[in-house]
Amino acid sequence: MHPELTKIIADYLAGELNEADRKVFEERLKNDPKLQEEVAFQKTIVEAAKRSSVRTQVAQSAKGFHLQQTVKWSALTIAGIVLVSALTYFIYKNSTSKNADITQFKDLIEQVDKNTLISNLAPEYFAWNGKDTAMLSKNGILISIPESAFLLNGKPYTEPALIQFQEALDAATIVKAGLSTTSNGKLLETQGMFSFKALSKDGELLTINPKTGIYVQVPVDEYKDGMQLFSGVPDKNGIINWVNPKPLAKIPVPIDMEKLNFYPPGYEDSLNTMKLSKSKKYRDSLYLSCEEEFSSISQNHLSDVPYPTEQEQPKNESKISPGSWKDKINWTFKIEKVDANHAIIVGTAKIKEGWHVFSVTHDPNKADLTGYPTKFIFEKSKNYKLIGQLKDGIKPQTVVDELGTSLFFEKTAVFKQQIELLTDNAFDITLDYSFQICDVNGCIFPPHQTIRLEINGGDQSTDSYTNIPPSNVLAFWKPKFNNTLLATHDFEKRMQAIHGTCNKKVLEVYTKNLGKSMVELDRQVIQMGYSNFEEFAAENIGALYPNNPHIKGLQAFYEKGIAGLQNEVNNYRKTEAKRREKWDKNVNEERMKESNRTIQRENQAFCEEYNLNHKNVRKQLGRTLGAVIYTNASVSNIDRFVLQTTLARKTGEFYDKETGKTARIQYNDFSFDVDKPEQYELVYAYLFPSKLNSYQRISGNKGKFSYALNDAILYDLAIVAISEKGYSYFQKSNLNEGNLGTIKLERVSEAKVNASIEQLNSNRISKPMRVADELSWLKTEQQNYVERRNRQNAYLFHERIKKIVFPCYEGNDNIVIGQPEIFADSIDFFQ
Amino acid sequence: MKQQNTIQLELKHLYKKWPEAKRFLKALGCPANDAEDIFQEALIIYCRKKEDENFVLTVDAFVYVRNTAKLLWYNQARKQKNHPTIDLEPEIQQLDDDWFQKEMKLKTVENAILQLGKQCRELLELFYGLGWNMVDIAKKIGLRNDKVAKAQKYRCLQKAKENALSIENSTTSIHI
Repeated sequence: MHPELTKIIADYLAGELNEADRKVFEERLKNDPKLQEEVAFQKTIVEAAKRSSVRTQVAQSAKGFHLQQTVKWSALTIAGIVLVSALTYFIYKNSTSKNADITQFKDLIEQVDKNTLISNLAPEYFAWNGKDTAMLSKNGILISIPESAFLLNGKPYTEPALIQFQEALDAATIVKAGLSTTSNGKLLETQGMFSFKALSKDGELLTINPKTGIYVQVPVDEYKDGMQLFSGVPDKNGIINWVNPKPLAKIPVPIDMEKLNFYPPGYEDSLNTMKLSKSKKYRDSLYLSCEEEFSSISQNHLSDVPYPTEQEQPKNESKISPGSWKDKINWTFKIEKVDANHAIIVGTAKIKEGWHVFSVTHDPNKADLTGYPTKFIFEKSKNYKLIGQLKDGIKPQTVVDELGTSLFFEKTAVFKQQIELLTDNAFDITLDYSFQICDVNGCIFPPHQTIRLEINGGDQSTDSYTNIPPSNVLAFWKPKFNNTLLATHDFEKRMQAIHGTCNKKVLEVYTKNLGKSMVELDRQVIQMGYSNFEEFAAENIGALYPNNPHIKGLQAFYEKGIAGLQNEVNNYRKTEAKRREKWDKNVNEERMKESNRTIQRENQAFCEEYNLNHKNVRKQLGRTLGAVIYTNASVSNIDRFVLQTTLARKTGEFYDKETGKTARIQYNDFSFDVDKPEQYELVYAYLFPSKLNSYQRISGNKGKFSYALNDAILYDLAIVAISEKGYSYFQKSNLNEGNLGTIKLERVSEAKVNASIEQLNSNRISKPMRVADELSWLKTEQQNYVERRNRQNAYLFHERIKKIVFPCYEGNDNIVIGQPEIFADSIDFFQ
Repeated sequence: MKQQNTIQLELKHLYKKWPEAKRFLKALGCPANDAEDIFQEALIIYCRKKEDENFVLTVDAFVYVRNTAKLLWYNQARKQKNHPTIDLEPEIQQLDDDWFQKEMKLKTVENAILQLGKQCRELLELFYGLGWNMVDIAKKIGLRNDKVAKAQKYRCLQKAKENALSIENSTTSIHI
């Protein structure tokens, strides 16, 4: 890139080389790729210079324009706002096909073209096809006209309409059109004016339906507080006076979903404090895991109670045999919850054809003392009180005959009693009901019947604990919902308050109305009783891209998203439940095996020890089996002594009359303490007797162990303790008596415990009892402890998170939180 | 020179519609700060396209500029991503037009000119952009005569080339 080269190329490109030089240059250019590159490069530079020159000119025209503007505006001394004629609002032509064809109005346009609301301002025309439509004007005003926007002579107009639209958004146009900017003589600052006129096909003037209205979005350079919408009223000189100001809605600014936060207030902070992962994926999934289970959200709250059993003996003798009434009437009762505190008890009787039962309003005095009105007699309770009297649930038949007036039901009778619940807890309602059934031949008066109904606790009723389901939040918190009302800081702010309402319906107000204006939705929420949303409504925030055709699709997408997320949770829970079930089953199987094994082992241990003791006694007495014939009595005496001593594990002596000798079985006290037993879930001591095949397992009480050792045997001791962390262990050989004091266990690996015990077991005798099963069970128990601990921790963790996620959630105190009851059922086996 | 006057007149005329273009861009979600740059860029593209013999203007010049601005804005929004735009329309494929691509590359090279000193820039713009002769240029920018201006032109070109290379290198190094 030599300067000389630049010069030659420049001359060459400018055509300033002489003929000879040019030829030489071109010749070189042909064969020198480097030179070709250089020329191309310089050409680009030249092109850039040309472009830069255009830029300068553009910049000059910009300068000129802005200078002019400043002059104009200062001359006017007003800035601007939006003004609308009373009749009309506005529009822009969107070239999309859904808009109606403007050509159908060709003739009408010609007729009305001169007749505009603002003279000296060329109108723009749009055809409206009678459906939800959005249009964009030349200057970027967006007009959205809903389906029922127009009225013709007070009646809804749904035919295509012609929209005549005028706009004056900049000062030049305003001045040229001779528009005033005064309101009752005062100057207004304006950001633009527009007129909007809608005409039927026949040229009749349409009015805007005040119930629906139309939506107009005017772009402004700067949103100025206090800007209002004025209506224009022309005076007799055609000068418009702008009156009747109304507040304008602010258009929300769409933000990328990724930058918004819809978690419940405090969720992120709490997670940060707990030092949990900051990844959105993790936090989403933790949030989602708080989703309520479907089963607990039941749609109706009926407690169907089966047919009552007869509890009392008949009080009244009836001529017709008692009991035969049962095939004539069949009662069912249920409780319908009205709200958290009220319920209705409904008794329904199905009556056999030809029979009837009396209304509560039946008055025997008016029927010659015949007929007995149906009665419910409630047991007094502080859990509820009756509201009003028992009522007929359906209209009874009125029959007037020679006896008087009777009110009764045929086929079906329904009775209702409203009650007020005075507690949130579940309780029973006991009531007696009495009734008389009659047919043409006579009546049966069955005995009082008693029924007990169950009322669910308050936490299951419709209006008590509710929440904003995480699935409903996560389902819209996706890029797909960008550019909707939801992807705005304004909604982010509302979402915080929505979490506070714990009412899913509030969230639905927003998610189900993506096309509506924010302020409209805020007001809906206020009407639901959430006055704190007044603050939001006061912001007067409008809609974002109303009539966006994607909105309907998004709605379906949202519903699907929720279902998908709920499915995800359910599947996870199902899998986890299955896993737990399998785990528990396995643990139970191990425990069953263990208990069988323990019984077997203890049996064997006893037999072996009995035999050993027996042998010793015989030895001491000098008797040898088979050498002497004993009397039955003495044999049985020896047997009994050995049996009793072995069972009691207490030292005993036996005097043998026949030999005059005394035999002795000696048991020595043996005890030890385990250091800090509370740190272990379970401590077992295993004793491996040198002379027996079996072994003994003893369990201590709060770390204190004691046992009687057979003086004739040497024992090896192994202590195994289980905790969440793993195993602790101690062993000592050749014991026979005494107190070992306090023993400190040592943390060791599972393998080490297994190996040590196996060794102790096999060292002592040629054919020891298998210990591997026992070790495998210990392992199961250890793992099970960890599992229970995990489950409990998971539960507590979730309770904690749920309290953060659901501000109205008070926690589930019904579940006792304590040490997991892991070994309760296995301890009994050997104590 | 007559042609230049025509373009300047047309630019002046088009610029009067800037407020309209601004509202239009704002309605598309373009921030006010970026809107005028985009509009000017669209004007530049329009002027340059007009120089193309094959170019036939089928719509009103302002509509052309407005649509170009829209495309530029979409292009920018797409790159920035953080400015969500209303549903992008199919016209965006125009952005892939070869000429347009080249023009966008040229916009980068143009910085080599914009980085030059005022005199250099003016000289090159007058010479290449407006086709002035060296005598007039010398007078206009206050150089002694056309010879000096011509020598200056070479120096300016040389400098521009160096600028361009360093721009290219710096962008390359960023990519690494």
